[in-house]
Amino acid sequence: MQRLDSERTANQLRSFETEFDIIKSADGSVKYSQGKTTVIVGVYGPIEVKQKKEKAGTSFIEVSVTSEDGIQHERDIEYAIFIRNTLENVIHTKMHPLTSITVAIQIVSDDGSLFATIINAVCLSLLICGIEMKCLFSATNFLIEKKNNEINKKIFIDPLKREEENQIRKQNDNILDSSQKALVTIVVDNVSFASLAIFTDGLIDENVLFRCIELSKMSGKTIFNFIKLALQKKLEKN
Amino acid sequence: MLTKKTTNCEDKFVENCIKEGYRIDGRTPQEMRPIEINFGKQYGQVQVSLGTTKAMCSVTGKIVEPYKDRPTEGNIRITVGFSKTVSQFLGSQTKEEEELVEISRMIEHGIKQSRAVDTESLCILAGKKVWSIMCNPPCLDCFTLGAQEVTITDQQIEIIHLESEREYIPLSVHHTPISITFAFFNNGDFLIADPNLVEERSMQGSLSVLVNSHDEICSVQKNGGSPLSIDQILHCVKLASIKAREIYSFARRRLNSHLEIMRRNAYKNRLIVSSVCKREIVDSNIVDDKISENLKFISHIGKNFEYNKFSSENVMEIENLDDDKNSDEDEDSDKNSDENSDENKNENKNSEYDDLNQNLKIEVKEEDLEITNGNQLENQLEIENENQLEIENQNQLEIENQNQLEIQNTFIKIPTKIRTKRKTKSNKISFSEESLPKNQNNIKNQNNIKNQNIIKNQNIKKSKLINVDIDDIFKEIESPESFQSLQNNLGKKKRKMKKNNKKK
Repeated sequence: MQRLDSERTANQLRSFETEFDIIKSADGSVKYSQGKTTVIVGVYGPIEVKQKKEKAGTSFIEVSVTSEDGIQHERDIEYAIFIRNTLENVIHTKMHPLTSITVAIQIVSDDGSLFATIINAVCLSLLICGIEMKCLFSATNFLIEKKNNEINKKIFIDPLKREEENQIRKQNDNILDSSQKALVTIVVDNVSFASLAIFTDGLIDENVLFRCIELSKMSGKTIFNFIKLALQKKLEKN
Repeated sequence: MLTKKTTNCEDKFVENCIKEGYRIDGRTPQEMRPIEINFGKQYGQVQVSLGTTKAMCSVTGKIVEPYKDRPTEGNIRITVGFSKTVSQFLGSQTKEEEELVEISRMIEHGIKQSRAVDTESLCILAGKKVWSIMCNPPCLDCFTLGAQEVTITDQQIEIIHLESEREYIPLSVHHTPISITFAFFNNGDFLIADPNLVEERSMQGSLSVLVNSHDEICSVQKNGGSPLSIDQILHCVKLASIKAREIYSFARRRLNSHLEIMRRNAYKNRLIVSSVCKREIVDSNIVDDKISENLKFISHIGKNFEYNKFSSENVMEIENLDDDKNSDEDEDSDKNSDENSDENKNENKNSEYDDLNQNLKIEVKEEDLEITNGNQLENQLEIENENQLEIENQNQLEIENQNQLEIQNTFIKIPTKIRTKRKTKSNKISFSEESLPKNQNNIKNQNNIKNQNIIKNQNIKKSKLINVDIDDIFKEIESPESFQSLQNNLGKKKRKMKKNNKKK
């Protein structure tokens, strides 16, 4: 199955790129991109915390997401909450009580599957910052689409923004609302390839969701390989 | 600027150094830090850095109604902000806001006069410029530099959003102001250009000048501080104009090389997309260029369009096969990307990343992944050779009989050949950029299409390749009959365009 304006099939990811240590004042920073979506993440931690926010036995994780406008939209706040919840289960917060770990995410450009790039970038930056984690994690976005002509729903990995959005260019009544779309994001473990987190938007069948989970394991493997590669190269240079 | 806490020792040390004619980081008093310009993946995104200060900017455009008192003008909006990746722990919020306001006003004064106004499009375009600043030692110059780069690089989208369909047109920019700041010490006796963070903290006043490459002053800003004499100000302005010229030429060079790369990629994508539409098949033994590698994959994809035999079950099966092989091959491709990433690094270093020697660039080549999958499809699709159209066979024979150089040329010319050799004629005139309606709507669409073509031809640039709406193709290529009709309609549209152009 061919994709919209790209050379990939339905089961191919876009190319990854990473750049480390962009922000010098941060303890760990990464500029990560999948295709044309790029994200910059800066991690500060563990760091002193105000008395309001400090917790007795664990460190306080703070996540903030800002989009290219510089404004925090609702979507950004939602992402931040979601990521914080996953990080609380992944980071060994009990090793640094009465501190805070802040993850600041800046979206540079959005060309589809934004959530997945953010989560992957966060994983990389936490690695580089040196914060103890129980496992690595990676995420992939899926687009589930069904058109009126077709019988079955089809799953596309790592969709472009054009694929995610409804095409409003067409003015013929035949073609508006001709496809039902749903988006799924699944975050996968490094150790047992269990799904850490699932985020859906739209109507989804059971079978399709389970299929997505299986696919996410495979795409998770490729992303973990990429992370290994990237770190190897970085350490070789040093 | 962000943190104004300095010690007396630092202040005195910096002043003494400057009195003796040298600076903390080893520069001469008039020397600026090295400038690096990195372009983002999409048009209108730049990251500029002066030393370790970094500023990012992205420009987006929207179609909006104009102001009622200025119906022929568009508008620019500039927003400046410190990104949270940097600014969480530096200074209090009120100080940051003040600085941001200063910066944004400066930029607005300097830039709003320089930008050209769009009157061509029907609705008037509003450009929004958005900044997010990541600072280490902060410096104003960086921000305005970023703005200039972005004004140069911003490209507008005419009607259709995909670059594969239309070439983008750049924003018309009359001139680009570039800002340079000076700091002065000891009640105006000593001036240095492009202060560092430490120097900024201990300075006694600053002057920033926005100058053109044509030696025109766009704006001058001096926010308090110790008084300066006229001679000193003139001296600063002259210095600034010299530096601005250098910076502008440097920026232009980088921009042009970047744009070339983008255009090449866009052209590639256009070729690929158009070839997918017309099911061009090239013999795999031909050329070793990158384009030919993409074509190999296209040839396999082209065969995929014969969906007569594909039921939904078959589709799912193929997906399964792809998955199992994807995982293994992706791992292999990651291992292979060791070798490829060096090549990529070299290419990238030459073109884009000359200055970023410290940072890492690793890429997983998309092409590697594709080619491995292409081989899979070969195996699966050998069954379907029976259903190929006569056109394809003719093209194959033509290609096999020619030399390598000619083949490259014929690839570009093939669309014309397909057009002439088209055998079937249908009554469907219904191809438009918007949709491929079905048989029922023929009559309605004829009238609409004529009008639409007239309007669009005024805005269309001449291009060798036919502009095709991709969604239509992927939706309706489910049988060879519908594809034939597509080809017919493509030819007719091109003829219409040629007629209209001739009339002009």
